[in-house]
Amino acid sequence: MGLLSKLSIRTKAIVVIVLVNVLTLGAFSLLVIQREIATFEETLVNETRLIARVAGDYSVIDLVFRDKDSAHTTLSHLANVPNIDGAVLFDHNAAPFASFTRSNEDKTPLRFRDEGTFFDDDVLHVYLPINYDGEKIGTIYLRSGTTRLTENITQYLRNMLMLAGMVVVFAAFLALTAQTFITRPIQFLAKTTKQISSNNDYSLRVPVTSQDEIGILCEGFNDMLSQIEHREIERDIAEEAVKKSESRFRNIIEQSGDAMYVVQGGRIAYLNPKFVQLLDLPEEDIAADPDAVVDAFSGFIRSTGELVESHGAQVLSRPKLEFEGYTASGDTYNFEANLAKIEWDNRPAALGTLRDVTHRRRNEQQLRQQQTQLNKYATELERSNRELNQFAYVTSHDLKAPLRAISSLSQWIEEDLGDVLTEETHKQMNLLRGRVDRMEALINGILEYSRVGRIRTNLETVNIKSLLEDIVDLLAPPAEFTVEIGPNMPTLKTEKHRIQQVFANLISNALKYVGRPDGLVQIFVRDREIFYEFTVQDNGPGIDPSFHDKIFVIFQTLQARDKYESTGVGLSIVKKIVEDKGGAVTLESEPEKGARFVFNWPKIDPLLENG
Amino acid sequence: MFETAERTSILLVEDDQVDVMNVKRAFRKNNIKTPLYVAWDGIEALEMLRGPRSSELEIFPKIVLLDINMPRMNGIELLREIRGDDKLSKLLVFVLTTSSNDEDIINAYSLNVAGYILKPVTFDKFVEAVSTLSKFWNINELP
Repeated sequence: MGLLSKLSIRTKAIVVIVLVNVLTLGAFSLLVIQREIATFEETLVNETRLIARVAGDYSVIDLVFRDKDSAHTTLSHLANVPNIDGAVLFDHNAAPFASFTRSNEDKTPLRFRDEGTFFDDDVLHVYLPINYDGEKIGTIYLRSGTTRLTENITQYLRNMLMLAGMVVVFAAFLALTAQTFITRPIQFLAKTTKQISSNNDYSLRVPVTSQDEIGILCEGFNDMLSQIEHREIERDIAEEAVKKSESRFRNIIEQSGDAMYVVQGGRIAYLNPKFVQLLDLPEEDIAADPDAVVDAFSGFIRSTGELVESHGAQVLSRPKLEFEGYTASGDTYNFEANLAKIEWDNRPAALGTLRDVTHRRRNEQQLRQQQTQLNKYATELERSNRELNQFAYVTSHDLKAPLRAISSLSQWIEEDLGDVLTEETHKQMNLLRGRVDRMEALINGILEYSRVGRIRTNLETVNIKSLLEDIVDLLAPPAEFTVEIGPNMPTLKTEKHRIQQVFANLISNALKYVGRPDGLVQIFVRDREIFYEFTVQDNGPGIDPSFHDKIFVIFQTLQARDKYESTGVGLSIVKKIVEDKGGAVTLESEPEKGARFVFNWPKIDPLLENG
Repeated sequence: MFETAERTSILLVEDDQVDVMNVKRAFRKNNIKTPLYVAWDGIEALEMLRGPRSSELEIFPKIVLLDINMPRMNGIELLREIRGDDKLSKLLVFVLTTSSNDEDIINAYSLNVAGYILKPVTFDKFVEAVSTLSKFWNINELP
């Protein structure tokens, strides 16, 4: 087999074809020869026996008449039969009577037998009894050689060999021709395989020339090639993508504005340019011992990196850690570290990103300081406001005592000197007390103003309609005056005292300044979602728009106080109350067209909202 | 009126001299004859009510006219002392003050004052107020 396996398929095919042909021919020849021998022997036996019988019949007379010469003559005729080598005629006493031999050297021993036909030593022996009148009178023996058979077989074998030779030649030719159909595709297959394996060119294909097993094999091979080629392309694309992504990843790390590092095996495996810049050391110093340099910068970097590298970022109690870093030049950095477990050169590692939050921290600190400062200011402001209110309250209170004293004393002087004083002095005394009254009103105004927002009065359910009616009753307008209260006045829970102050001030203002006997004051309400919008409108002289800003300023009056006794506090109180409730008060007015004060009042009092 | 004058007196606790004059003049104007004693602050008032200056009160007062803002011991502090003293707790106290401070008003009423009167600025109104006061305590039975 060892030798056979080295032969080419082509040689193998030829050998097999020739062998098969030779074996077939050989087997066929053997069968034919065997058959030839059997037929020849049978023919020989029959012929010899027939000749024996004929010769026996011719010899009957000779035997009966004991004529030996005639018997010899008869037997000698057998020389014409080519096969017969010898003949013996035995008499009834089994004694030889006559004989014949073809050659003189023939020394065949003559043994007598009654009857029988047998081969002995390639010689056919035939014994036949000779009968006459039903009586055995002798026995004839013939001996026949097989030389002719041998000659026949030799001849036959020669022919066969010649035929075999021709067959082998033909078979070889046939094999040579037929193998082209069989081995050529295989050879092609082999050649293609070799090409593919040496060039890695999977785009090659084997031509399919037949539909037999080889054809199927070739098709299968081509399919396989297609799949490999497809896979190759896919792998190429994937590799390309991996390369691209790796280079992108690398780019991102290198271009990143954040310092980035890789810890692998507890050691610094990589520092990006930003980190190198941050360390502020010669690059060769960093390259010489990055671990020591980074440890000097911050002791946390390697320890947390190692932790994340082996366990993943989830071991960190917080996803973002805050470290402080110290450079060799003594700068301190605050940074936020973000750690992730990654693959670095196909082994687990930790990728850390340091975001410089130094400025943010400083800003936060500043902001906190500013916040503290602001809180301090607010507290101070609150305190000073409180003090101011207290001051306003106490001073106005204390101012009233001497005022009262002046008023009382002036009256007692007037009374005690009643007879002595002139009419002029009485008038001056009245003027003096008038100014005292005005001053008291001013002081009361300050007091009231200082109380708004400072003193909380009770929250009550207020029916605005009845509140307005009460106010009008209290103000007691002249009979010709009309105060109209519009429809849909609400009922709400609020500081009754404050809204009463607002309406009382606005209505009394209207009554005071309307300046005509048929004065008309109208009060409306409109629902404005979270507010009620109230309007107090009169048909008086109106107010020039250039004064609209001034009228809400405390102590500001538009008329001489001697003409209209006014403190100039009322509207400023209105404004303060309304704004304290989160609303606003506006004035819409033109000269000669009346004044129209509009203010908002919350449906739900802020005191309720704040609990 | 005469009966009341014989039976009782009034203690005015007031630090302002003009206010004291005011009250005295108003009493005169209203022809009130009830004896009027003056203490200049809470401490003096207590000294007069409890001793050692009790001899100054010939007739022990049943009515006190009390100012609030005073030196040493103010009106509210004096009120607490009075209400905490078994002998004095039945005194009829009217606050007569310039303070319209809510806190003062609430404190005063929670110490059972009979009235809280803001001192009118003009003398005429003061006279009117004292007149009303005198009518008020005259129609009341006092302990």
